[in-house]
Amino acid sequence: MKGTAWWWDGTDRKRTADERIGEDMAEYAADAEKMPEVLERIREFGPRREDGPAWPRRAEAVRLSPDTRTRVRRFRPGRRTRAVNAALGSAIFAAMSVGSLAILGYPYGYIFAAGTAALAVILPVRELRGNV
Amino acid sequence: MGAAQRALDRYELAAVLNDIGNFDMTDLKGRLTLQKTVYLLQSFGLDLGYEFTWHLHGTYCVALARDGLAIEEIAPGMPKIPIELEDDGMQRRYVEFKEFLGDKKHDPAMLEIASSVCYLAGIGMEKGEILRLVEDKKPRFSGEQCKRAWSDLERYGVVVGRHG
Repeated sequence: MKGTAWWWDGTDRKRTADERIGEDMAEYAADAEKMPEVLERIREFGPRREDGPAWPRRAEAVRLSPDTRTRVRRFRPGRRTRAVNAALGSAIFAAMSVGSLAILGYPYGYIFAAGTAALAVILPVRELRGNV
Repeated sequence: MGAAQRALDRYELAAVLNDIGNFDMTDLKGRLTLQKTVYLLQSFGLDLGYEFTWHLHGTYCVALARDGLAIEEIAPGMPKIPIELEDDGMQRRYVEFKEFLGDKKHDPAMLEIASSVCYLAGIGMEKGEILRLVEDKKPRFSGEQCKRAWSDLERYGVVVGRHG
């Protein structure tokens, strides 16, 4: 029982998104072969995808009214908070990049440095654009 | 399946889910409720940009699961904001959707039946075939529940009565 682990706080929150999605998928997919007629029908009807047939229902995209969007915006972290977070994140990853070059050297240091340098750019950009 | 182009960002989606009032990601039932709620919302003609695949428990979208887990951190700090949509027709449909949900919004089983019925109708199955299939393959649901789900969806024009 996963709930007995010392780090578990009584909710699912401490587990990673991937762990939780993986468990959900396992639960969802259990005995999926019991409904071959549905899968067959989907194959006839919808597009094929490697991980299963997709059935996007086409409808009109939802847009909130300007007033509602303004109200929601109040709860989004402000531009300054995001800029500080982005700068901090960038500095940390840049330091890791330089540190790995200095400590590990060639070749692993270069590989790790390239990865962390990329993160030093990508993550702050995501933060600034508000892609939480 | 991915959400190729989400209609709302995560803060906006959090506001909508808060308004609907059944958002809870702490266990599988809660996560299943989110999946079915958003699937049904899209079936009402309000597209959020999620694409669903079929599983034994009905419709599922990994991108939505990821967004739901991210929203889990946002939603509790956000008070309930009355949701108004830009388009009047959509606003009416959103109100109808909430009426349709009613008490079902806290009943993952009924949501699962409704979304399954809806999906199967969407791939061209007929009413009789769908009711038989759901009843046979999901023995935990009664035929009465399946019929109720069909008639609720039919009342709001989500499935069309000519089937079966």
